[in-house]
Amino acid sequence: MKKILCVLLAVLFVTAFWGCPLWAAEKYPDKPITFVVPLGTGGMTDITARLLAEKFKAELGQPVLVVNKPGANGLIGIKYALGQAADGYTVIVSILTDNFAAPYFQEVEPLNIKDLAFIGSYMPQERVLFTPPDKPYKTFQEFIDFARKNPGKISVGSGAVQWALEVVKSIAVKESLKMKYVMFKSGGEASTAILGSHVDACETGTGTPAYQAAREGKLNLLVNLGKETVPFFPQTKNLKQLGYPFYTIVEYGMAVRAGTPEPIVKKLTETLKKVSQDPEVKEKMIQMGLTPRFLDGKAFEVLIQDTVKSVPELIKYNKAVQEG
Amino acid sequence: MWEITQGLLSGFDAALTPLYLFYALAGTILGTITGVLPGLGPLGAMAILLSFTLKMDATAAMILFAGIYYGAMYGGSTTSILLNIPGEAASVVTCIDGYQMSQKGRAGAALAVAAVSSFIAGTISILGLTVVALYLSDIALRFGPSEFLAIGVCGLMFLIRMTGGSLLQSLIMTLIGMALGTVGIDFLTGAERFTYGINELGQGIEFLPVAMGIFGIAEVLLSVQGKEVPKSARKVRLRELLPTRKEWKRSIPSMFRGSFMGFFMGLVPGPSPIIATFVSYFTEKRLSKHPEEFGRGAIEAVAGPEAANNAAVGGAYVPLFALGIPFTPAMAMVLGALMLHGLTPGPNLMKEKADLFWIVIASMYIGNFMLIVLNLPLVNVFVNILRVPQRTLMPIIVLLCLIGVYSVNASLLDLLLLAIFGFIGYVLRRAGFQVAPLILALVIGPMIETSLRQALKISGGNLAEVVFRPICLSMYVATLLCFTVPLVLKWIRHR
Repeated sequence: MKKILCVLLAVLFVTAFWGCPLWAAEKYPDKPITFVVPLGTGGMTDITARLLAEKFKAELGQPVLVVNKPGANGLIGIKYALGQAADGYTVIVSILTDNFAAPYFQEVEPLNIKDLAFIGSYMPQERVLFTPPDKPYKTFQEFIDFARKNPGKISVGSGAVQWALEVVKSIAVKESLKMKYVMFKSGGEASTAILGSHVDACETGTGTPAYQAAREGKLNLLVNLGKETVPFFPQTKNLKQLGYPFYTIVEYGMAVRAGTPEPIVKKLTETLKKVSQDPEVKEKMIQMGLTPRFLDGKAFEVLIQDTVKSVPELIKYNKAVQEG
Repeated sequence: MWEITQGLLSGFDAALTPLYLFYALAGTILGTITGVLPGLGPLGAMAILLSFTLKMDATAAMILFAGIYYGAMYGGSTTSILLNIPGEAASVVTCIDGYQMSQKGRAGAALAVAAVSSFIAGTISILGLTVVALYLSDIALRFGPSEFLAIGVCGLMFLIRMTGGSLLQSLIMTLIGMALGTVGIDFLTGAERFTYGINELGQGIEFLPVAMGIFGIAEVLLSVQGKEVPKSARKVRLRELLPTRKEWKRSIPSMFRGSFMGFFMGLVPGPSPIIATFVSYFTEKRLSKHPEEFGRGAIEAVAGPEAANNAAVGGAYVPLFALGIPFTPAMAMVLGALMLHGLTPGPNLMKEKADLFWIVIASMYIGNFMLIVLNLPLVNVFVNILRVPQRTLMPIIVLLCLIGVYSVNASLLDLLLLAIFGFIGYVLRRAGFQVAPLILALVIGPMIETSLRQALKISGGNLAEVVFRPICLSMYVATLLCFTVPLVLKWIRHR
């Protein structure tokens, strides 16, 4: 009798244990969800996160709060989110590819892919090299030729993405150029600098004021430091096309802490897919010059893996020349 | 000229509809509340409301946000004057003399002057915005890293001499502030500075916890200690609520000077509105017939800086509308709101959606008017806050500071910093130090350092190229003159 009872209890236990996540997913979400944005208020990540939060709220029926935790290239916010329970109520919304790249540049401990469960991505961003229209070089090739003939004269700025600046350096390495590099604190600050011709060229992303100015013809696009097409500028080539060894991968997406029950992650992925394909969301993003595009968790993870692979190589490539 | 009048008239015509008036009122009230509450600033309010604005039309959203921004500037001075707690960096200078005035029972006068200052400044700066946005928007673009360095360095000069008194004391405070500003992950190289392995220190020591601590918590500690003069609980007479005729006479010129200073500094990126407040303080002190009162409750010291910080709001809108570039985090929020509504600011927006521009301008005027109508009677209400017994008021202040600081970044470290700086502030003030330079240096120091390094990188290490530029040189020379001319005159007089 006792034995049967034990077996019954064991079976009950096991079923409950396995069944729990499913049950949790049924109930999920039953309280407000928090989107952690590890970047500043008012930036591109913040704004798109808020837009998505509204839609998620409509889909999931629970309020979605957006909390900003900026600092250290996103590491502060991500570390904070990883310290919360893996129950799907804390979602990281960020430029995760850049977050993974950053520790390599800062020479701190890199993030571990295994710590996160990727929900999916909603938008790539191209980093474009802009230049004022009154410069003697109008195309990328002319720019390279000019830089080669005038070593140490050209200054190149960056809109706060270290990776993009390093990619520009790698171009200089490949073409044997000597240029000056300046980092700005944000895409906005970099836009001011390039529009005022305080630097000779500057890289910032699609969606920034510099990009909008370029749409009005106030700036020239030299090249896309990424690997896709630039919205509204189909004729601008990208580094992958041109055969350069390195390019930026800037992808905005969502993730939760690893260990979050699979059904919950799935539900979040489905919601993200639905929301990012919502016509209103797409229209708003396209108007801003952004490209809404959904990638599921697996595909997103692949991009992150590409990042983690290519960034240390990029650093090594650039360093080799500096020492040599 | 005609174009402007036409635009304004059409703007007013559209803005005076019930819907837009409602949003103007809602924005100004919300803004005032967030300004009064220490910690929660216009940025926080806008962030919360952003998703809500998605359902509104673009113009209504803009009107709402503009109202919030102006309202917060009005409200910020209230806590500065009554409780010595600055709501924003731009309100720090108001604390210095504003609080002294309220200690002397002239709180109502200070509040009233602050409100009127803000109104005049708002009006002038909106006017300026109207004119400059159309014709002179490119000014903002002339400012690059070298120019920001010049602004920072000259501002620092004014800051050090602002509070008068012992130069050594000012220098100590300023240098401590600048040193604190270096903490964090250096964005240029990624190196960690003074973070001692604490991750959260990576983003640096923020203004808000330090300000709330040094002003707010320290104030509470001082009053607990019983050294403060007990606040009178008698009913405040109407005569004391309003400034005397003499006070008005002294403040009006300061208001105008502050407005122009604030507006022009607002045009330029960076913490220029903050710099404008203490340049204004310094100027008023130099030009005043009663300089000895400064630091002890001079009315011009409230009128000038308050005008400056409000005028800077209008100035900050210029680059946003004209160039599509946000120069402060709050402006970035406004930009975000515009973009979410499918509008990209820039010269095109002014041409294509000129009606939006004019309606927003018109409702800024309306909003400003609403604010003065709201705030003047509220002076009476606010002054009565001072009648609340210390033992009730102080814990409330502590609570508000805690909530305010936590609401920004949800960071426990910030709360710890709040406590630490509360204690530091207490010690410093007991020792007789003026703490305002410390806070302001905390903000300006990083700006100077960053700009210097960026400028040197661009010039390839050539310092001459960084200094000898037209805009920079004129700033350096003007500042130098400001300091040396009085000394020279004094020397001549002595002979």
